[in-house]
Amino acid sequence: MISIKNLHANIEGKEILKGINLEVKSGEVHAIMGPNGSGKSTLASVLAGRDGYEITEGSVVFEDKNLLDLEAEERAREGIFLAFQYPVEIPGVSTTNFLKTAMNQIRQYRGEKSLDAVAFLKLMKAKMKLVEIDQALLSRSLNEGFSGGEKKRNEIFQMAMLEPKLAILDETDSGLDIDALRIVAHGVNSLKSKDNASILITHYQRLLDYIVPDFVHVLFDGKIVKTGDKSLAMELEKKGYDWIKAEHGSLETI
Amino acid sequence: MDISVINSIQEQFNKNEATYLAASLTHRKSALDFVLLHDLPDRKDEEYKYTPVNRILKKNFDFEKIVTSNSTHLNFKDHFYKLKGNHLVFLNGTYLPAQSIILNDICCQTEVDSKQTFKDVFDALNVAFCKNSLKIEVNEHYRPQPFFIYYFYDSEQGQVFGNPNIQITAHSNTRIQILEKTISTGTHPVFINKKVGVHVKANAQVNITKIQNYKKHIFQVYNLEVNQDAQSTFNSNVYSFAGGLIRNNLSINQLGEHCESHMHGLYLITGHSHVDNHTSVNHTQPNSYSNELYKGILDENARAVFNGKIFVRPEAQKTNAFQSNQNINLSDSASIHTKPQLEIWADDVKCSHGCTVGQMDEEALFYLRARGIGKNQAKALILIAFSEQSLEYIPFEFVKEEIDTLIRKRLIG
Ligand SMILES: Nc1ncnc2c1ncn2[C@@H]1O[C@H](COP(=O)(O)OP(=O)(O)O)[C@@H](O)[C@H]1O
Ligand SMILES: [Mg+2]
Repeated sequence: MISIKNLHANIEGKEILKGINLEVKSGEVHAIMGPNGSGKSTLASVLAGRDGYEITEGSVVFEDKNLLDLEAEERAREGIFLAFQYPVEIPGVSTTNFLKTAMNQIRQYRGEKSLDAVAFLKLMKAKMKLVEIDQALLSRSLNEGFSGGEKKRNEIFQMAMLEPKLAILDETDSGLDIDALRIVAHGVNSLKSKDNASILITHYQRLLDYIVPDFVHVLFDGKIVKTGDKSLAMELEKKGYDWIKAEHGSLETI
Repeated sequence: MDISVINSIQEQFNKNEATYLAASLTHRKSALDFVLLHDLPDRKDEEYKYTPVNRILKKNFDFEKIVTSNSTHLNFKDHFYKLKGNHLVFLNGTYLPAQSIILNDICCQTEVDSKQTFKDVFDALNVAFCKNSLKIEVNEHYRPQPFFIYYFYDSEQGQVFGNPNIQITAHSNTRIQILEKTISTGTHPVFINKKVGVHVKANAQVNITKIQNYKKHIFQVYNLEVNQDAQSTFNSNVYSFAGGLIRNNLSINQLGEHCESHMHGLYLITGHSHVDNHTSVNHTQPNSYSNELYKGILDENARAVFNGKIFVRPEAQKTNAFQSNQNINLSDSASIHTKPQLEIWADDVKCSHGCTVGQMDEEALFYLRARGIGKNQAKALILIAFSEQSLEYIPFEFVKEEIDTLIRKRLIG
């Protein structure tokens, strides 16, 4: 589904991604773990098409398309979804209001008819149930005054509405209590199918108790330095990141 | 002092002198003397630092080329809202009762009242030159139909100098709603110098909404002075979309206890439009409230000025006064000057103010794009939401829609 090869990216002249290689196939769940500042969010942003990054080397192919040539909105329409680590507040714009615009622009891009108000509402009702989110919340200004958990649930709600092919969840688990975590995980699990895939960026192993990944990668200093299965996550949980830092940090200084 | 503008104003007055009624002539002459003495403000005047009217007029307007004919091919009624109400017509600054639809008691005075004082040079200029004065007076326990006031300007034959003059009195327990709109034809410059006085008596409510969507050859100074008695409410809503010069002076005096004043504004300007809102609220008695929110979006070479004064006098304890001016600047060549000015003499008060000038919120823009919304549409969504917060206090649903349409047309194209 997505093939990332030797991806290098700079921000303000500083190299943050230093040669990422990652292959994700349909039906797979990949977890990316790593200490703070290692470049996880940068990778997510680069994939979603945020401005301000300079790609100096490498390629990203998403379903036969060169992803890096597409605008952020085109990537979304192609089926990429980013659940933000820090969802933005937009005064005066409600979730319902912009999501309808988003859905219809996506449908138009794919040559589908736009949803009428009734169909949209029906779909919303179903997805609201899935992430246990309130209609009132969705009618309020986006993320304004939302609790941490409400913001994250809103991200998953949007994902459920847009049904992406590839979902990238950037620390959707941070700051959630166990109940919220369970709800979020339930949302993600129920949306999983053989035709879509997800990349879970997380700091803790905790989320992986609820969503079982097929692969676990460790991102450190802009590179994927280790890949394994669920047991790698457990090992990280037990030993922390210091041993990774020791192994790879020393390489840098040679 | 600039001799040329003042001179031509003097000449213009002399030319008109014969048409003024003898009863008002003395008053007009003293108003003219005030103008001649003070001159039109320029850069050196603190209040007009960023809106040097004298200079702007000298560059764009010629008092010697003013035409005074009141004939026009405009069909006024075509522009009326299809609604029950008082539809009042002004042509080139003169009130035309015969062309108006009047349901309620209002009167037109052909001479300016000598009680009309002038605090500044534009007031004085208006008193010296206005053709007549419209008086709207609503009596106790009476809820009149809304007042739609249409200002027509026809500058097809030459330059127009319009001086609309309106005095509004809302007696106790009455409720007045006013909508002001301007319609123009012709391409010669127009200088509008409008003077409106409002007296909101005890327990009365007045709501004035104005739409300012002028052509670039229209230059306007608007002095709106409001006096509020106890328990009264005054709402002002002003929406500016274009104009060569728009200067709105709104001055509110809260003279009794438990007064409430709301001031909402939006300027959504581009090209070379220049919009300047100067507001002042004077809290003189305890337990009153004022709330002000002006929003601005500027593009291309537009210029905006905001100055909000709040005075809380020593007796005005337990005043709540809030002010906010928020701007989004979309262009490097647009400019905004914003300044809050709070002077508080009482100690038990709640006051807050904030002025912001920012660019488009890039994070918000990326968020919406990451959901599949195209860049332009995403920008429009953010800006429309920002603008629409100023529509809250408009009493007429259809006006809200009209303004919303103007906003959307401007932002989506
Ligand atoms: N806008 C920016 N300007 C400069 N440096 C940045 C910017 N954003 C992120 N960085 C730097 O990039 C590195 C990786 O950040 P990030 O991708 O957020 O890490 P992670 O998500 O793994 O915690 C950090 O050193 C961070 O300071
Ligand atoms: Mg991060």
